[in-house]
Amino acid sequence: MSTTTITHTIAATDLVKRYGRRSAVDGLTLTADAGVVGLLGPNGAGKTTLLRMLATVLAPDAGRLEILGLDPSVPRERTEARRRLGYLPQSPSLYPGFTPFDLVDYVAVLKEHTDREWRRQETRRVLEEVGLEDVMHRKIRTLSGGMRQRVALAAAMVGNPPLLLLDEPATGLDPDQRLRLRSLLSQASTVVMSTHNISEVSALCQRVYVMFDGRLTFEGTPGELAALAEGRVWEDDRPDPDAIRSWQTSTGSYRHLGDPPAGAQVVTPTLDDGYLLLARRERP
Amino acid sequence: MTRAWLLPTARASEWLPLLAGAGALAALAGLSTATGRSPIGLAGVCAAVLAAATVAGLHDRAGALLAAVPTSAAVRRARRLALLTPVAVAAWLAYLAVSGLTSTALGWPVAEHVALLATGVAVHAWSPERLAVVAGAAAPLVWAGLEAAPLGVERLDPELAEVLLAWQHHPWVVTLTALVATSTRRSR
Repeated sequence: MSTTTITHTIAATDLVKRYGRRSAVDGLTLTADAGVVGLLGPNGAGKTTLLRMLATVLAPDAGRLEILGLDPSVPRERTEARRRLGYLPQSPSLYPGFTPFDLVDYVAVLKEHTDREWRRQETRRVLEEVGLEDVMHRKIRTLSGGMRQRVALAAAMVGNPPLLLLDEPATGLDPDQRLRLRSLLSQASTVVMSTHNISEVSALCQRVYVMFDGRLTFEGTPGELAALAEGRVWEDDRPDPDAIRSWQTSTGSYRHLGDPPAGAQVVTPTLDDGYLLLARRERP
Repeated sequence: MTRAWLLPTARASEWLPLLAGAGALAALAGLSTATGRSPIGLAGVCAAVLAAATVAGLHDRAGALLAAVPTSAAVRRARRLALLTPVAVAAWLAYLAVSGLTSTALGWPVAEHVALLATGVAVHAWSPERLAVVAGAAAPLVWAGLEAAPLGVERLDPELAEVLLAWQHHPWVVTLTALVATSTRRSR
């Protein structure tokens, strides 16, 4: 009989991170492999703390973490993991006096890429990928918020790391840039991204994790998240006080979540419906 | 590889606090020359101001973006210090020379400054990330301020005063201790 060891790109078991008495991440277990994984949850759910732990920036207080088969609690393995991951923090500050080219090249230096010519080509490549080829030699202080976000994204992507950890990567991006981001991420190896934007998850992610209060409350495909609301969404031309959530749509009709009354016009649920129902269950 | 990090690190470092500190010392030196009064009583505070300004230069605006690169925060800090410290020491020596504070008046004039700077760096290394620069810059000022504050430290038991003002009495011991403390900090 042979034993097979399955190595996930990310394997986290019972992760805990506390700030004082509050647990930002509370006994969370997850795995991630090739593809795009979406992390959903309200503000303060622990998404950023989780991503910081996965990026090896923050040490968990308890639990076990393996990134690309490496243990980040061991300094040498942590450094090796960092060579192979790209991390985009939430709304990062940049050096305003640098150009995008200077900054990404500097990040490449810090990622231990020693060949100058290779760095130049790689820096140019990632800046072109994020659509900054025309401004790569302009000072960062003169760029818009969306452009700065793309500079930071390019910095995370330099060296084509097999694991990308992105904290709200679409912040500040216009619809055109969001489409470009989707196309970029769909080509990447393994991506874990936190977002508030459910349409991003729907368009990009093969798997979704939903967090509330530091705990994982859902794990599955976007379709499975939407299916949570199967048979529990209906539309009407009036508000329904018995619904657990009601809102007016752009067509003027009302969309309701909950237990539909007899004869209600039940509609196909979306990812938003599934998420909202889950949110209602977690935070009544 | 050395040249690859040198220029961007120099550009990424915060030079303004050090320039401001050096400017303040230049003004003081000019004032003392003009009035003919020696600023020897302020030497400790001046050394602390430069040390604090150097530690303030460790502030990294893009620290969050660089948090997960394989070049650790400790190495990046060491590189910044390698650039900032010689400038700070040069500014200190220039101040001593212009102010006429000779080595006979102060002993070995660089040692106290280096001790205060090393202390600030050690406090920076051991402080929580958000407070590191403020705590690190405050440490030399607070310590040197003990001498100038009206607490009468020098009137205390001589042994206690020697400990409280160790940066003056045993600057190289303080420097060595601070360096050990900094290097043993396991920064992520």
